[in-house]
Amino acid sequence: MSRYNRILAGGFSLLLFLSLISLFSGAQSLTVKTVISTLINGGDADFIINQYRLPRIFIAVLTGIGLAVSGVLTQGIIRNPLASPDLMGISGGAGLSACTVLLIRPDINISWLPPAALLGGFSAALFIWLLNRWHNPSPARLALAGIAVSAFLTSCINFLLVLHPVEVNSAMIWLTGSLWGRSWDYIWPLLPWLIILVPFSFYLAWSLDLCALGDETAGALGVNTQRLQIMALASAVALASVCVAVCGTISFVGLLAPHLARLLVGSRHKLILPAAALTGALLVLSADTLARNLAPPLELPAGVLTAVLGAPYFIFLLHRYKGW
Amino acid sequence: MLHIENLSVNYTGKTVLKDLNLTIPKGKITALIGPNGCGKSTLLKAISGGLKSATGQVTLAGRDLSRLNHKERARCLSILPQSPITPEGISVQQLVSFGRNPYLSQWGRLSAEDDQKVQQVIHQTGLSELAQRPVDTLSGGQRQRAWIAMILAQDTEYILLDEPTTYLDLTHQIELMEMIRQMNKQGKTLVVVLHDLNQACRYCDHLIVMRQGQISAQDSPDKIFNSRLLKEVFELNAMIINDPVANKPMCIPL
Repeated sequence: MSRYNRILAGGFSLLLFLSLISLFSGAQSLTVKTVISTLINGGDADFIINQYRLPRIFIAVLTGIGLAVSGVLTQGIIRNPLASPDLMGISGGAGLSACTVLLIRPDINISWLPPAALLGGFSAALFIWLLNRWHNPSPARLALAGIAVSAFLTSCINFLLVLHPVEVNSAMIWLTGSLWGRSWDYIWPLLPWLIILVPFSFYLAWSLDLCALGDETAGALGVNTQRLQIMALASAVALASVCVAVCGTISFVGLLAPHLARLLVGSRHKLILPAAALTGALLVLSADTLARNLAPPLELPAGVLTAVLGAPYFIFLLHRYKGW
Repeated sequence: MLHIENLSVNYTGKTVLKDLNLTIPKGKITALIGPNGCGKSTLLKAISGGLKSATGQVTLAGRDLSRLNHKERARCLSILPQSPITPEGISVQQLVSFGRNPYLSQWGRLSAEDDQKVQQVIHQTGLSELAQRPVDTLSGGQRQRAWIAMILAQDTEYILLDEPTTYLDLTHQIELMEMIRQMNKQGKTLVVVLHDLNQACRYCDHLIVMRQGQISAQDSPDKIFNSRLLKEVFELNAMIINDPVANKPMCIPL
């Protein structure tokens, strides 16, 4: 088995193992026997397992994949180590519009959240793109603009939540990202997007490899760089937005997962994508499992835990980055 | 033949190239020379279709290049920019395989023929032993050979090189110029931006001399390379002697 396959197999086993842990542990610990009998014929723990823990595990894995793939696409196009959907204001935009929709119409069907988030995510991305166009574009400038816009959008969310006090747990989702109370209903708005956009990102993988040579060289080699940029960034924005619609801004996953994957498997996008998707799924799932188990029955937002890991790494990147 | 007609390029209101008309002779090595900022690189980019602000017409064997799509154009004409970005961790073989892109589908799967071509140019450029090494760990000369190998894998009739010798020491400059000569013997038409005028005269069949976005002269070195031209274009007082080895004109600054 090649080194790459071993890494993927290792990551996958780890993910399965973690899913099992996540299934057994929580405010109420379950024995192996209860879990197995419940999965087969239902029973006492039916609610905890089938309605509570199992959907959370699936949603954690899906959002992890979505955010990671979104990060790979963004970094591939912008060729900037600091680029990621949350640092570029995409998550902020998606979060703000999803949150607004929910506050205006609290009883709205949740399948409306992804379209709303898409609108916000695309507006934020467009704004940053125009800002970057207007000035002389540089990686540092792009990152700074993204951070400023993100901060502004987050403060808008804060303002909305202060105006309309809601239950703390639901508010937390829009501020830091959490999988609290996410049931099967939330999988359906998420899944179709991933089923279409994740394979599509594989379709772009080879062109993204060429894109790493710079727009000029890639263009000379026959890559339609403008079309590639639009397709990849639109997919990245869409993926990040629908993930945010379902569980808020789980920060730094879109930044960390592609970096870790690159470190493990090199710079070919065909290889990075599966590795990053696995890393993203592992990050979100472990964050959520920890969030449920650190102080039960209280729950931390998963986004806080990914930030604990992500923020120091971001500072490390800033420190290493020489393009200022 | 590569014909350029009425080519103009404006960057933010400033005219960089003004109404250029020129012909790149087929099967020859053409050197593009001129002082810094005269528009040599811009001309190469405009020929290769990499500039949106270019107006005018570039025709290759009677075909208007602007009507071709990206891959079709990349099968006729390749260009190596002055300082291409070397991605971290990409091996020589991977880099060379990127040269096959114009012949591949969007998925980028290389056929047996593509693989064979890649191996052949790696061998031809003397990189066989370095094929698995990351490009960013190679020396300057080796790295430039890897880029040339990528361009050769692209297998185009016309090859444009933007200052390929700039960051090389003299030995590697000569090695590269010899490589260019070899490519030409295999039937390629080359256009090379050069700063070393003596190398341009020695290795190239045709000179295009540019100044301030316009063509000052274009012909073989024997016909146009003289002290008046150097004074006019480079504002340099120089004496022209005969290069005793290559039997070509050679300048010695006074």
